[in-house]
Amino acid sequence: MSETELGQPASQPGRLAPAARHKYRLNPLEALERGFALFRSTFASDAWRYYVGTAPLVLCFIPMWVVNGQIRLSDDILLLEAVALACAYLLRVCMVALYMQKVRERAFSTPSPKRASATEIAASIGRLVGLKVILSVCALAAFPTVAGASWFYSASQFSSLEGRGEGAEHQSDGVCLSLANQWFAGGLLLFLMLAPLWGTVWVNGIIVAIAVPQLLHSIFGLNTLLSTQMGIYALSRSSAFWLSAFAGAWLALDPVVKCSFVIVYQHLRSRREGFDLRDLLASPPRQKKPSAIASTTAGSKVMAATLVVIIAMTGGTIPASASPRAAEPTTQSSVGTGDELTRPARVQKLRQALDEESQRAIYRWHDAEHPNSSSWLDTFLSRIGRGFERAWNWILKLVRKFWPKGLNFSGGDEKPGRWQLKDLRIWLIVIAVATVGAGAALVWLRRRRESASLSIPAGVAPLPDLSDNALATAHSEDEWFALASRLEGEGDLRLALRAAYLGLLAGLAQREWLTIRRDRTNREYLDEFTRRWRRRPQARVEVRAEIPTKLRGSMRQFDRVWYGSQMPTAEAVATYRQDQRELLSYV
Amino acid sequence: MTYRFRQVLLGIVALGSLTMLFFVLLRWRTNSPEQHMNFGTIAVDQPSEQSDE
Repeated sequence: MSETELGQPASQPGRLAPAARHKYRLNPLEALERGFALFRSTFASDAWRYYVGTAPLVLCFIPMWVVNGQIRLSDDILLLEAVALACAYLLRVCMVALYMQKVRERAFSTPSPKRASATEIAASIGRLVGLKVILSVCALAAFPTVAGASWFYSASQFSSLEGRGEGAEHQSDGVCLSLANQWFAGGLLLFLMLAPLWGTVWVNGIIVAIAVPQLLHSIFGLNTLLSTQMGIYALSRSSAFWLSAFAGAWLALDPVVKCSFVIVYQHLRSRREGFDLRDLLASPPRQKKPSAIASTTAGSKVMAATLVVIIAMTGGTIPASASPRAAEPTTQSSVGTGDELTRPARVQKLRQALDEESQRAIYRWHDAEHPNSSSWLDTFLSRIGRGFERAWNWILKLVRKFWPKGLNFSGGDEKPGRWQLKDLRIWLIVIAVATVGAGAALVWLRRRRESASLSIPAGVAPLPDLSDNALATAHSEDEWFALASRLEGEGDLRLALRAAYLGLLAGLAQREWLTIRRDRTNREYLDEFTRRWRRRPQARVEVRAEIPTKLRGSMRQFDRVWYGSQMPTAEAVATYRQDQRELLSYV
Repeated sequence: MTYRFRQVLLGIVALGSLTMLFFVLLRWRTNSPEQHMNFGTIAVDQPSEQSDE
C-alpha cells in the first residue's frame, strides 16, 4: 500500500479535521528551522551522499576555470572537459536526489521505493536530469522577477523527490510545478530568507580568506602571497576566487535547504493525501511503514467492535467482559481476548502520550489542534504570505480570463458555442491590437531616432574605443596619432596620451617589432621589443641600446598617467606625442 | 516502454545541452584570458625615484 492509499479523510482520531488540515500552512521560518534540525540529525548517516555527489563538480570546475584562463587549449580538450563536467553534474543530481530520499525515509519512515529494473532506473534518471536542467534554466531566466525564480527553484527541489520517487512514471511532469504553486508564498519567503543567509556565509568566507593570512603574518611572521598587498589585489582580481567563494557559500547552506524542502514536501503531501505525521508517531517502534500502521489501527478497531458486539449478544456487560476472569482461555478462539481488551486501553494511553508530546514546540508546525500563541514574526510572515497568495491568485485569475476557451485544434464537426467564439475573438483582438501597437511604437521610435541623428552635427565623429580592452592594431599608427591631436585639442589630455601610446604600439606592430595581444602586459611588450632589437642583423655593427631605454621611458610615463594619478599638462602630452613619432622613425 | 524511452531521451538531450553549455563557457574563458598576475597597476604606484630614466 502506498501513501496515496492512506488518504482516507479524517476517519481516525489522530487525524486532523479536513478544515483544520487545509487551513494550516507550513511557515517558511519553521520549515527552515526544521530543515536545520533535520540536517543536524541526519548529518552523520546521510550527509556523505550529498558531499560525494557535489564535490566532483566543484573540484573539477574551478581548476578548469583557472587553467583555461592561463593556457590556450584546443577544442578537443575543451570538449572533454565539458563532458567531464556534464558527468559530474549527472552524479550530483543523482546523489543529491538519493540524499533527499534517504533523509525523508529516515525522518518520516516513508517506504523505500521498490527495486526497479535497469530500464526503469535509466528512465527515472533521464526524467530527473531533464527536469532539473529545464527548471534550473527557467529559474535562472526568471531570476530578475524573484518570484518566478523562487517558484522554479522550489519546483526544482521538489523534482529531486518526485523524479525518482515511487510511482514517478504515473505522475505528470507538472507535479513539481503544482507543488511549488501550492507553497508559492512560503517558497518565495524562504527564498528571500535564504538570500541574507547565503550572503552572511559568503562574507564570512571572504573575511577568513583575507584576514587569516594577515593574522598569520602579523603573529607568526609567516609570509604568504596573500599576506602582501599585491596578493590581495591579485586575489580580488581573480574570478576563480569569487567563484570559489560563491561555491563555498552555496555548499555550506545547500544541504540545509534540501532538508527544508524535504520537510515542505512531506507537509504538502500530507495536505494532499490526508496522511498525518502523528500516525507515524503513534506507531509502535517496529512498525514503521505507514501501510502497517494503517492496517494495525484499523484492525484493532474492527476487533474491538466485534468483541463488544459478541459480548452484548451473549448478555454480558462490558466491565465483566473486560475483567481478567472473563478472559480466561477456555477455547482456542478466546486466547487473544485479554490482549484485545487491553489493546484499546494501550492505544488510548499511547495516543494521550502522543498528544502531550505533540504539544512540544518542535511539533507545532504540524499540530493545528493545539495551536500555540504565535509570535509577532509568525503573524508578520503569515500576513505577508497571505498577501503573496492573494496577488498570485489574482494573477492566475487574470491569466485565466485572457486564456482562450474556444481553441479547438481537433478539426471535428463540433461547432464552438457562442461564448467560446466570443472569447476567442477577444483573444484575437487583443493580439491584433498588441501587434499593431508594437509596430506603431517601433515606427515611432525609428523616426525619432532618425530625426535625432539628423540633429547631430556632422562634424563629430564617434570616438574610437580607448578603454583597457582596446587593441592597438584596431587602427593604424597615423589614425591613433591623429586622434591624439584631436583629443589634445579638446582638452582630454589623458585620453590623448593613451591614443599616442596606442599609436606607438601600432607603429611597432606594423614594423613587426611587437605582436599585439589582448592578454599581454606593457612589460611583456618591452621584453619582446628588447629581445628582437638585440637580435636584429644591424646589432653587430650598431648596438643603439638607447632605443629600448626610450621605449621603457615612454611606457613608464604612460603607466603613471593612465594607471596612476599623475595629471599630464598639454605641453607634456604634445611632447610625448612628438617623442613617440620620433621613436618610430628610428626603428 | 515508449514512455521510458522518451524519459531516457529527455535525459540525454538535457545532458547534451548541458555539455554544449559547458563547452561554450570554457571556450569563452579560454578566449578571454585573465591577467591574474598583472601587477602593472601597482607598480606605477611606486615612488618616482625608482625610475631609471
